[in-house]
Amino acid sequence: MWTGLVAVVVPMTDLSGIGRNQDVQNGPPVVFRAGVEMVAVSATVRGRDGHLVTDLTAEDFTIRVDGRPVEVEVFSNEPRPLAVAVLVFAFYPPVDGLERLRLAGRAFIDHLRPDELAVIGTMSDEIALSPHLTGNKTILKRVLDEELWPGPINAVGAVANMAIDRLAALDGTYRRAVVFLGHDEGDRCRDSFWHRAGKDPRCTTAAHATTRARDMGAAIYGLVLPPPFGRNPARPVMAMSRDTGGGYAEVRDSDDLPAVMAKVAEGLRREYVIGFFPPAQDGREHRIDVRVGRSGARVFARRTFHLRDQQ
Amino acid sequence: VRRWAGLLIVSIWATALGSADGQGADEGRAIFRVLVERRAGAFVGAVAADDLQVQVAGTARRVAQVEGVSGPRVWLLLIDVSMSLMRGGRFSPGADITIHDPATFVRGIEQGFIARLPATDRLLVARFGGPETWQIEDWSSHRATPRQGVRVLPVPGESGYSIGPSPIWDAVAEGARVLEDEPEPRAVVLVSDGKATANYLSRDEAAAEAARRGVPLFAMFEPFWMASWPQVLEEPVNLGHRHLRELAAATGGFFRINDSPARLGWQDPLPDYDHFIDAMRHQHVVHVDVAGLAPGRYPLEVRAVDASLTAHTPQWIWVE
Repeated sequence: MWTGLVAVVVPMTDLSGIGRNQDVQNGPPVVFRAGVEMVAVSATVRGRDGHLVTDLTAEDFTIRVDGRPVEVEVFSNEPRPLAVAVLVFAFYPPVDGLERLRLAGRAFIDHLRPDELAVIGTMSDEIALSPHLTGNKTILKRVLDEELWPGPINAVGAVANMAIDRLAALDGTYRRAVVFLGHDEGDRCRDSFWHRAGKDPRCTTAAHATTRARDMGAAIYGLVLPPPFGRNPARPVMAMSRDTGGGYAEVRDSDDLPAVMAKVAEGLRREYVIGFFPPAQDGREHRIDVRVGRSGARVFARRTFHLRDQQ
Repeated sequence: VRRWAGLLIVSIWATALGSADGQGADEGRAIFRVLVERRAGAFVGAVAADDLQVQVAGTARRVAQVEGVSGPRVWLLLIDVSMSLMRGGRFSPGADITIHDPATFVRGIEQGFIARLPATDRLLVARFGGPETWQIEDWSSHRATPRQGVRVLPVPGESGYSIGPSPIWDAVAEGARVLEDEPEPRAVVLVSDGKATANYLSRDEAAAEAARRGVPLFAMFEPFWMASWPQVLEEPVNLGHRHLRELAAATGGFFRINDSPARLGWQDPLPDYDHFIDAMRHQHVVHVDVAGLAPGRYPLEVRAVDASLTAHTPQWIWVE
């Protein structure tokens, strides 16, 4: 089902929600190095049967950067409450296709716990984020029922950017994430789309939104419908999920959507967060390899990270 | 152009605590407004107490009195200028798809509604799209001002409003609040594609805000026209009509489709705004016996005894 779970890299300051004293429960003490930016990688681990493995300790993980092992400085496997932006793109599906997206959204909302939050966004016929970032499931389902409209725009970058703005107002208590539902088509939020009205100043690239999500420690997930017109080379959500440490899965008509959404919600909560100091703070991209010692376990973690120059 | 910016949500909730109705009811009675329609656009001018069957919270209630409403009407013309409605050029010129052509859109409002209003009626034009609602000029019985206001609606490049989301429910509630201090009879005319987004309020909450102020909503649905799709309302691009229809009905108003096909190249009639105008000339206030009911909001169901007639009433009644 999951085709590419990856992990997120965040600055050390964004580890604040973890609470260092309690987070290093299974690992070595945190080491603070002046002027060096800690890298935190989020990862999920699944067994052969596809179920989440949630009982690993810091000792189970090994991290290599450009082939060289690094020491785990911070480790946490404590579930955190979710704050999730559920962003829906409905590219003129038949009405039952729109209902299927609503069903997926409702299923995800049903799996939210009382202390968790969500906000609904749409990017099909308008670029809009609901003003309600809330745990009130009645309101969230009302928004799904009343405020989703099929359309062609697919402003992935813009709506993700708006969602990140909203989630950024929350503190690190929450595990912040963006979940895209719908077709993974090219982003059409561009000048030529508004012949009369001019460009929407909210348009931004998916790459920009990805960078912001990564800086905030928010992962992007995609639960996508099969392409309506065959294979589409532009899959911005796939790239965003890969680059932020989220997950990406294509949902087939035969899939049990509520079960899929339950799996997504649980996977979001049960991520491992592993912090380490990189060997070089050089502003370049580095390869990262996260493994666990448990037989049959598969790690879904980001494969590269990029640090800003410390100028 | 004056803005209502920032007023919207605060005022909605503040007024929810205030008095419910502009027209008082006698002790043990509550009132609602009714429009009785014989067929589309033909309204009944004389309605008697025994012409109506009323149920409040599922229980039959006696109609004590029915009064005709006279005097100049007060209108708020509320125009959706959000992205989904104002976006043009999605498809190349010459395609069989035309989206809310601005010339016919404006002409339909100007000639179909504003020009048809009786000279004594008062009108305020407002538009919304994005987080703010803009009021265009002040209340006026002079038609030149609102006409000019409507003409500047689809101005290119005003991206601050014309490409924003569609808080239709919030705008309707705000429109009802604006009308609250105006003399009755009063109504909101909404021009929209019904594709609501980014609302604080739900559709039903907005309908209740209008209904409790005695403000019926008349919705003119602006469809996304496709010559090759005769069953236009059934297409995914036009699902907004369902919500507009129910929103208007819950307030005691009703819904029409701008099915003017001029944009497709043949002679067209003007949109049915005259139905709204005629309806408000035939509005009645109904006094109903609600003895024994505690103050609060109750579901209201009204039927005309003559089954060939349709009674348009709010979905709820408020007992004070």
